[in-house]
Amino acid sequence: MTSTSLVPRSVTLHNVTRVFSPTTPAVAGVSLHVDPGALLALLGPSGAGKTTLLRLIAGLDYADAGRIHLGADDITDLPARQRGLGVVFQQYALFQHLNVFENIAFPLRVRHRPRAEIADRVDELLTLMQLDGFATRRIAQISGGQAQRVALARALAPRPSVLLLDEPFGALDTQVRHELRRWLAALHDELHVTTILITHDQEEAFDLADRVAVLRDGHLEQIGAPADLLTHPATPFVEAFLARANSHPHARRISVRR
Amino acid sequence: MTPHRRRRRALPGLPLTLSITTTGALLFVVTPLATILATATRLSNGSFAAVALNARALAAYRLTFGTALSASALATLSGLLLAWVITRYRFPGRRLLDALIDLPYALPTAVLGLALTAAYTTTSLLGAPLAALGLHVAFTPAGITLALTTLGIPLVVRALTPVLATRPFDAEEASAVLGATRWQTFIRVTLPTITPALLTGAALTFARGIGEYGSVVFIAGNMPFRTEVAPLLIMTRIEEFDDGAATAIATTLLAVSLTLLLVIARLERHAAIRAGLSPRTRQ
Amino acid sequence: MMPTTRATTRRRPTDDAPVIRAALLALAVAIFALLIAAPAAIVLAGALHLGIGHYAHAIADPSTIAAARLTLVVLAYAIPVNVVFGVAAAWSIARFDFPGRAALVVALDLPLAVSPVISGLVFVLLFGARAPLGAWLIAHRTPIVFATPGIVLATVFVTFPFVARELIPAFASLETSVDEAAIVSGATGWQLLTRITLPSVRTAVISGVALAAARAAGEFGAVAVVSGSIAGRTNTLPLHIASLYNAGDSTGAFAVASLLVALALITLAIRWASER
Repeated sequence: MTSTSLVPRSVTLHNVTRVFSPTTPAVAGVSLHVDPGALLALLGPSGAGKTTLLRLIAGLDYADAGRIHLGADDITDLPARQRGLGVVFQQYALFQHLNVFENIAFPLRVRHRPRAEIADRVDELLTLMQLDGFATRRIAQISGGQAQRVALARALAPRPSVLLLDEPFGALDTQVRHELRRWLAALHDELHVTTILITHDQEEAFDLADRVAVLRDGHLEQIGAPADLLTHPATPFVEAFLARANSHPHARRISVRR
Repeated sequence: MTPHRRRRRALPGLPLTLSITTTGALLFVVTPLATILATATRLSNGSFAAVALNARALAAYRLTFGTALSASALATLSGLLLAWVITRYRFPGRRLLDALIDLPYALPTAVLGLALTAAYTTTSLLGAPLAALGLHVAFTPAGITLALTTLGIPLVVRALTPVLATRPFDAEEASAVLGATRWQTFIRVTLPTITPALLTGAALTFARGIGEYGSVVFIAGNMPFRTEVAPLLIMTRIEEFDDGAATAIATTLLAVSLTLLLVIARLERHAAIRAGLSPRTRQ
Repeated sequence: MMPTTRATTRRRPTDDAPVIRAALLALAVAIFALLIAAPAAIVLAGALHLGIGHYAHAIADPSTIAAARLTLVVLAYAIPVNVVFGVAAAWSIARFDFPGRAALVVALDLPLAVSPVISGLVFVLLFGARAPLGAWLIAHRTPIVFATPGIVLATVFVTFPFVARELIPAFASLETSVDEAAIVSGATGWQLLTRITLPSVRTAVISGVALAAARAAGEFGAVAVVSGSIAGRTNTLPLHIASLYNAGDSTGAFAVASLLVALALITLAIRWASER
C-alpha cells in the first residue's frame, strides 16, 4: 500500500509579476490560492503566461514582483532545489543515459538517501505507475506514455508537497492522452497531492480539476470551480474561450468532476 | 518588497565557472598579447620598420600567407572530397578511413614534418618519381603547402561531416524530384548548405597554417627569401638573441592574421545566415 | 531491343552515378594514401631500417627515457588544467548569457591563430634572463625558461582551449529542460554537472581529453623556444626527435617518432571506441 507520508501544502500567489519585454508582461499581478490536496488547472491560449507562472512557482525563474507561498512559508527567493516540489515537463526531460530505475531514483540519490530506502521507494512507485518490470529499461526503449509515467514517478519520488504539471500529455496521441487522464485522476484521488496542471485542453481541465484558472496575456481572468466558470463566466473572454470548446462538433459534453 | 530585484538565475554555477574561465582567458590570452604589444611598442618606429618590414621579413610574410592560402584551398577541396566519400558512400574500410583521417591532427607536428620530408625528398619512394617529372617538393614552397594542406584536411573534414551527414538530404530529394541533375543539385542545393562549414574549415586551416612551425621546419629547409616562413624567421631571431626583432615580426604577423580572422568570422556568419541557419541562443 | 540496365534506373535520386562514385572514391583514397598513410608508413619503415636491435637501442637510450619522462610530467599538469578550464568555460558559455560572452568566445579562438613560436617568445619576454621578472626568478633559483616549469607552462598555454572547444558545442546541444528537471529534483550544481551533464557528453569529454593529450605531448614550437633543448634535461620527445634528426641520426629519430605515431593511433582508437 502506498505510504502517504507526503503532506500536501497550499500554494498562494500574491500579485506575482514577471516582465520579459518592456511593453508586455508575461505574468501581470496574478494572485491565486490552491488548497492543500486540490487540483488547479491553468487554462488559456498560448502566450497567456501559464508556463511562466509554473516556472516561477517551481523556482526555474524568479518573479520581478510579488510573493509566492508554500503553506505558511515564503518561497519567493528560495532556490528551486530547496522548494521540494515535483515537476513534470511536457517533453518529459528524462535522463537519457540512465535507465528507468535510476531516473526515478535520482531525486533520492542527490539527497543521499540510503540505498535500501531508495530501492523500496522506486519499487513502490513503479507499481503505482503500472511500470513493474521496467526498472532496467533504457529511456530510448519506452513509449511516450510510459515515459511520462516515469517522469511522474520521478517527480513524486521525494514525496513533494506540491506537484506541477506542464502540459503533461501534450506530446501524446489522443488515445494515450485519454487513458493517462483517467489514470491521473485516480492517482490524484489516491495521493491527494496539491497539483497545478497546465493544459490547453478545456475538456481535460474540466475533467480533472477542482478549480480552473483562466489566464490571458498574463492576467488572471477568472478562477473558480468548473461549473461556476460555465454558468457564470466573469468576462466575455472567458465565455468565448469556453464556448469554443463546447461548440466544437466533435467535442463530447464537458463533464465536471465533483 | 524591492520593485527592481537583481535578476537571479535558476541554473547554478555561473559565478564560479565564469571566474575560472575569465582568469584563464586573462592569463593565457590577454597577458601574452599584451606582452607582445608592450615589447613591440618599446621599439622606435624606425627600428620597428627596419626589423619587421625589411626585404627578408616581407618575403617571409608573402610566403607565409601565400602557402597558407594555397593550403587552405587545397585542404578545402580534398577535405570536401574525403568527407563526401565517407559520409555518403559505403565501402569496406570506411570506418577505418574515417578514424585515420584525424592522424595529422593527433600527431606531433615535428613527427608529421619529418614524415613528409622523408616521404618526399628526391630520393624517396614518392619524391623520386615526382623529381623525374621536374616537381620538387622537399625544400620548396610546394613542400610547405603540402605540409599545411595535410594538417588542414582533418580540420575541414571534421567541420563538414556533421553537416554532410544530415542536413541537405531532404532538400536534395526535393531538388531531384523537381528535375535537377545530380550536378545541378550539388551546385544549387548542397553546396550553399555546406558553405558555412567549408568556410570554417578553410579558416581553421588558414589560421593554423600561418603559425605552423613544427611540420614546416623540416620540409622547408629554411632558406631566406625562398622557403623561410614567418614563424621560422621569428625562431631564427630568437636564436640570435634578437628579442626585439622577433617581437616586431611577431606583432606584424599577429596583427595581419587577427584582422584576417575577424574578416573571415564575419564572412562565416553571413554565409550561415544565408544558408538559413540561425545562431543558437540560450537563456 | 536491348533492355536498359536495371541498376542505373533504380538508383536513388540522392546517390551519385557509379562512375562518379568510383572516381571520387579512388581520388579520395589516393589523397589519403599520399598525404596521410604514406608518411606514417615511411616513419615506421625508417625506424626499422637498421633492424630491430638498433630500434630497441634507440628507444631504450637514456636520453629518450628522460625525454619520455619529461613529456609525461608535462601531460600530468596540462591535462587537468585543460579539463578544469574546459568544463568551466563550457558551463558558463554554453548555458548562460552575460555581458562579455562574445569576447570570451573570441578569446578562446585566438590561441589557434597564434603561432606556437610566438607563445614561446612571450615566455622568453616574461621569464627570460633579460626580463625583470625572469631575472628575479633566476636569482631565486626558480628559473622558468630552460627548465621544466617553463615547458609545462608553455604547453598549457598552447593547448588550454582544446577541451573547451570540444565541450562548448556538446553542452550547448543538451536540453535545458533536462537541467531544470535535475534542479527541481533537488540536485546541486555539482551534482547536475557530475551526474547528468558530463555523462551525457561522455564522447566529447573523452575526445577532447584525448586530443588535448596528443597535442600536449606533441607540442614542438613553443617548447623549442622555451627549453633551450638541453638533451637529457629539457628535451621533450618531439624535441628529442628533432635533435636526433638534426644530428644526422635519422633512424634513431624515426624510432622515437614511431612511439609518438603509436600514441597518436591509440588516441584515435580511444576516440573511435568512445563513439560507438
